[in-house]
Amino acid sequence: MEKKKQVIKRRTKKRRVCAFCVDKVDVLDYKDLSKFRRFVTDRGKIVPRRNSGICAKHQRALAEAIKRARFIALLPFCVD
Amino acid sequence: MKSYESLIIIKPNLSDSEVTTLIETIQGWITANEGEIVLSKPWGIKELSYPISKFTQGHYYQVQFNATRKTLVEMRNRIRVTESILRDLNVTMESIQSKNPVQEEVASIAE
Ligand SMILES: [Zn+2]
Repeated sequence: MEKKKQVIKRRTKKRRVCAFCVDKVDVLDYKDLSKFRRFVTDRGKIVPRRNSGICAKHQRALAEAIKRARFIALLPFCVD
Repeated sequence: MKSYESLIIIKPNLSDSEVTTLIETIQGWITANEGEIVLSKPWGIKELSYPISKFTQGHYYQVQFNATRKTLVEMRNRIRVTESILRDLNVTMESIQSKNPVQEEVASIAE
């Protein structure tokens, strides 16, 4: 009997480190747009943590900074 | 006393001298109650990311100061009744400035 070779595809988990932890960021300034531009999508949404690899602590700080920037019209709420 | 930062958007249809006068008035609100201005920086006219009260541009004015809670509340009340001010954001300095001695220079977006 022929043995079927089973190919199991495993999704290789990429080890990701939080970009802000690497830079040892403790506070995020809402005016410092260049620091978090890449965590905002083209439509103006905040990139989810599962896609960006940011840690929980920094995602909270990031969301706060983005929301402040939106309020004062430095960033859009949504782009259509 | 606490350190605060305010970022204020002033209507774009004001002339430069009117903006200067308004900025002086705002500074007066802070200093009148023993507040102390640390940094005062008008960014000039800037495009808004979305229209506010049908205005697509605005004069941004950034001011950092030390003041009591009461002074801040009073200032915000005055801002609310000032028609030339489109929007204001008030935050504590500790929420935006690192306590570490190595302070990074915030890339200016005023330009
Ligand atoms: Zn982190």
